[in-house]
Amino acid sequence: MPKWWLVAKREFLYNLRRPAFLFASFVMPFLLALVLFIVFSLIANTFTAEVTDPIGYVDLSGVLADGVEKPDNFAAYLDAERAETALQDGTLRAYFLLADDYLTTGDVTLYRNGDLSPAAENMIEDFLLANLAASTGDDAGALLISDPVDMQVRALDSGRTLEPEGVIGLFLTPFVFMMVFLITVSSTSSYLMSGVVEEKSNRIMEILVTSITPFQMLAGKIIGLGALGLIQVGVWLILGALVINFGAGSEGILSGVTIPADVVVTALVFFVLNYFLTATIMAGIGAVTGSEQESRAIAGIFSFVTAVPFFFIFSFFTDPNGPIPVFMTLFPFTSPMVVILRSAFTTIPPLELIAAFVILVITTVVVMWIAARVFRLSLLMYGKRPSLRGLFRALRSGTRMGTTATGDAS
Amino acid sequence: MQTGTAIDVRNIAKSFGEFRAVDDLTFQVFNGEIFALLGPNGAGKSTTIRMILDILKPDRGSIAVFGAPLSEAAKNRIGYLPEERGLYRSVPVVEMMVYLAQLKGMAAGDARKRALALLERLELAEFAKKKVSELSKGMQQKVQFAVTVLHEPSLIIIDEPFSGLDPVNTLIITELLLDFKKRGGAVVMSTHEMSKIEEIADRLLMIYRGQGRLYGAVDSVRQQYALNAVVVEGAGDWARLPGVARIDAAENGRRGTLLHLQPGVRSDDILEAIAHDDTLTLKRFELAVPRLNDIFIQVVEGEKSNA
Repeated sequence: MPKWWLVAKREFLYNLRRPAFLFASFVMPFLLALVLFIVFSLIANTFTAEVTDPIGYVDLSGVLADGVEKPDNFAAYLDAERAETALQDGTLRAYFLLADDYLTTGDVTLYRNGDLSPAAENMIEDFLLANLAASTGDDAGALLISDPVDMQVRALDSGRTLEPEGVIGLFLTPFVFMMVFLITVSSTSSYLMSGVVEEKSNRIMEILVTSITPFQMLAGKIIGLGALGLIQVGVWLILGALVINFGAGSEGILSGVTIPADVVVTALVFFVLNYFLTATIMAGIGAVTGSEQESRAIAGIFSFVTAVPFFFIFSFFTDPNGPIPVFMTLFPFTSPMVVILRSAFTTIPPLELIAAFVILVITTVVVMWIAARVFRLSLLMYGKRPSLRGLFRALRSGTRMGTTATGDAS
Repeated sequence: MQTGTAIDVRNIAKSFGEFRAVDDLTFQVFNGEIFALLGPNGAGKSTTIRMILDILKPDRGSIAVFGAPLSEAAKNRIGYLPEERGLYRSVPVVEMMVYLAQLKGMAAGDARKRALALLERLELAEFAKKKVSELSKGMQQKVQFAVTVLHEPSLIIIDEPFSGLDPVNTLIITELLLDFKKRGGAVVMSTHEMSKIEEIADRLLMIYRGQGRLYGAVDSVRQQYALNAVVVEGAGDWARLPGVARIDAAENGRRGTLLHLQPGVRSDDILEAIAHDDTLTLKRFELAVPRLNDIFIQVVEGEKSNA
């Protein structure tokens, strides 16, 4: 069995049992899904629940006289006094009054006893709309008045056609992907960093380097924790699919939502590259610093760079193809997040996407090469951080950093 | 018993900036022997070990392990107990041992069987499933030793293997080392415990300021420093014995009297003279072969006064 595989297996199994990982990967998504489920159910219920509250109306305008058949819970009253009495004695939950000049002013007054649900208000609106439409005597016109917009969006640069229901999915998917990837990449690569710091600080590193090469160790750690990250992403995706599936079947705001396949593929490719880049950097930081506190401080700088696009989110809204979003798409440390984020607002030109991909791949390879060397050079330096000059010198020569008998850097 | 050279070090040197940690060191370690590496703190012992293990590269000179420069495959045949002990603290003892043995190329099943047998021998069987952090310092030290020999290496390099161990555990580790040697393994042992070297080491190298000062079989090194003298313990006037040139108290606070002999006089002659002298009572008689500790102090002090 290759040694990198042993390291990968150990990292995978060891971290899989961590309570923090189990919570972040399984408990948190389910809690979130539960919260979303409750919220969506409540919203759906509010807008679509069957209204049984008795509602009266007084029509002084005559618009409702011989129009559309009224709902079962609606009752007509001849004047406001009678309706008011019914409201007072609890026969009615609410009543609305159409003034005699309603057709010219549109004035409708609603009297109610306590709160009235949005669904009941919709019902009143629909009843008025249907009656108004019927009063025109034109069936097609009536239909248009009741459902005035059936918009199809065609993005010129991609030819992608979006149905109105799909727009939510198009906006939602990249945001969800970005958050999931951000959580996954930062948690797995921080496991990697603390693993290296632990092995260095408890001095087991000295035994490890006489058993495997630093490159085998680095590769095993990155692959093992990457597999762990994929599990985390997998759990989120399955849950996301379940939530959307549930939402699509309902009549709530997720109805008709589909996840665009090209966004998913692009997101996954950039996620994997982003993971390799971040994990490699974190391993390098862990090896150089050798202390949890210090490595977290330096890792924070990289996390800040990754989060920079959020500060410019206004640019993505107003001008998603402007210079700032384009620059951040090509800049390798922000490109994974920006590519996903930008796809919410626009379709990134294929050439730009390919350029971002190539730049990110090249950067990842170069960073891995440097990190593998830094990793190798710094593993046995305890208590003292190598100077930048020392690192550059060692990188050029490709030999190990000198350590004295006590492990201090020379 | 195996024969042959396990380690062949030729003229190695290593500097850290201006500081010369190892300076033109040459020695061999043979299969089936315990080879002691000794010297004061900062003499260059750990640097030498790290160069043998390819953790550090020598500035010049050559090192062959099992007849060739150290390869990744050859590393599987080496067990290393570093001066700075290190174990995974939050995993069960046996799991950690199996993992580290697998990294040395041993199959998981074999590693588990042998790990349990070793823990049994080290009287740690009941702690196999405990986390390392739950063990006492002495127990961790024994586990660390078990990790060093678990994968059945041909060569073990151990730095202060007895530190932190009580006499009972010291004996257990000593027996394991002698066993290992008997089966043809080579042991490089860096230690300050001179009595242990006298007890179990076959040959030694003493390093001082990066250079080899004493090298060879332990007995012959001691003989080199032997005086023409005997140590006696008992009652009577030792000065009246024929052939005794001078009388001193035994060195370094030990009991007895040191009799310096005149040139040409042998210890046998003195013993015979004591036997024929009724005024003398003899309880102990031994050759004044210096302890390694004395030789160590003598060399270091001598170097200091020459500097």
